[in-house]
Amino acid sequence: MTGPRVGGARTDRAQLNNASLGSLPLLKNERIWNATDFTGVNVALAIATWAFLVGGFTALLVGFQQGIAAMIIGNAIGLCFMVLASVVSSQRYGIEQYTLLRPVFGVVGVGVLVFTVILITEMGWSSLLAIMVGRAVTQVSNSAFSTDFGPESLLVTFFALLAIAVSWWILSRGPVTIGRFNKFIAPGLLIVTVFLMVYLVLNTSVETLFTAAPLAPFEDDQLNFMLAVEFNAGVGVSWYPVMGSLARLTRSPRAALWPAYGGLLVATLIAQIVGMAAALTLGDSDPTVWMMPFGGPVLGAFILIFIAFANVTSTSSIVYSTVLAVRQASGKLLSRVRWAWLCAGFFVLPALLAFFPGFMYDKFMLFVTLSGAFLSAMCGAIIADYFVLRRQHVSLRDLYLPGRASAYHFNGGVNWAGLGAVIVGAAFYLWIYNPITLATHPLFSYTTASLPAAVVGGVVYFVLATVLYKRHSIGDFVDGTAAAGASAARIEQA
Amino acid sequence: MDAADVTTSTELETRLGVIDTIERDDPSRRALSGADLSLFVGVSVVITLLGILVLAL
Repeated sequence: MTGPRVGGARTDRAQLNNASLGSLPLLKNERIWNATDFTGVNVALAIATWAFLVGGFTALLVGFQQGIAAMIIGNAIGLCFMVLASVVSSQRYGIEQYTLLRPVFGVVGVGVLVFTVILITEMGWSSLLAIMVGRAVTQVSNSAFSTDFGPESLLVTFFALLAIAVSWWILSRGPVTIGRFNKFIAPGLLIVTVFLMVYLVLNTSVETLFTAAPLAPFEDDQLNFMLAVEFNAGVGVSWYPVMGSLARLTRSPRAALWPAYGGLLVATLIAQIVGMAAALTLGDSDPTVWMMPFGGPVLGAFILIFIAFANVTSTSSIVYSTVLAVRQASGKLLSRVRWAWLCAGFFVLPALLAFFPGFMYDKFMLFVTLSGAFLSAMCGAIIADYFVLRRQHVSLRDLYLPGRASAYHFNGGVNWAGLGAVIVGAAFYLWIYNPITLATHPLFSYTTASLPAAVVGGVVYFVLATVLYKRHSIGDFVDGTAAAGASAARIEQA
Repeated sequence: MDAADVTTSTELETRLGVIDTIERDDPSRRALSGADLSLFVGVSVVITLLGILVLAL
């Protein structure tokens, strides 16, 4: 999602367009965002309908006070290692995160992760947002025309497919079009959030909110709380696929680090808490159900239509960087495929999932936590590589050298330490907390599953990379330099 | 290697050259300092503790 949410930030369109289209390192004059700009971008990114959805789903498990605590703890943890893994290196080198993953996973290994973890994560979010559009339009239809379409009716599927088609159209026009739409969407969603807050303050007492029971909890209160924390940690870490592409446009480490963490954390918390309060007040976790009771038939319908449109542009935004990553990770395979066809290919699975709207909503938490298991382990490995083993030094030239000429070629283009760390870290996550069976290890009650998965991913990476590569002087772990250096021999080979 | 590849390769070389010479010590390319890193992790821990405090209230 390079440069889609630029509303409010000072941008130069031509620079942004050029910068966002390639994987080349940006130069100083192309890094256009200071701390204030980047804070605005992150706030706009976080104030989105998915935050309402997460707030609503948190209310399924816990009440208001526990929900706030779970949101703070979960997001603080998830965002912490997500920011360290994606923002810091992308800012320093002016490169999006997928190219910078080559030292950690190898060029083929990055492809494996992009075509599995990243692609599935973004496809899931896209289908969910599209189904939300279908549900929003259904609510408007039921109110305006007295129809009786259910949340899993064919009309939901029809408008979800239409949303996907419009998202594809926006996406196929490129990042400038996405940015143009988002200029209106981000402030609009801020107004919707404020509207919900005002309504809640006027119509619900603080006491009512604090005594409201969770909507569909399990029997074990501690398990409910920790599931809510883990869910929010998963949401925090799920920003990984988009953040590096944005951070590369910032001017200094501090202009990237704190705005990414603070902007996302504060804006996410506000939108999620508002969403949770609305869900507890109305007894429904689905944001599309809230607007009619809150706004009445006219204003409610207007807000729902706006939310539908916001979801379409949000989908375009999150898919943009993923399709770019897919193109890069495929090497020559997809480099000649037209951008519009590539985008259409991405939307095949979300379109199929649109035929099962109930399934996607029911499995939302499962999807977030499962993708969080893999992303957490990935983040752990990336942090161990960049901060511990490389001491923040990556050879820029080696990132781009082909095949064996690159120090990051490892074995057949795969850094097995990286992939091994992801597999072991994710397995450790599932051992502590299995989101399918809900079986938990006692450790889960104290540590969450994301944090230990990241730590295990990092430790496994450190050990394997040291034994397999560093000791044998493979992977440029010792001699990496901060700038463009690569050994003369390798340049000769290239 | 077609024309597009050549253009990209030339552009990459130009950029690597600029980064290696002109921007090498520029503040925008500075590594995150140990103090900044410690502060960042510390703030994250404090916010997590704040969440626990909210729970305990």
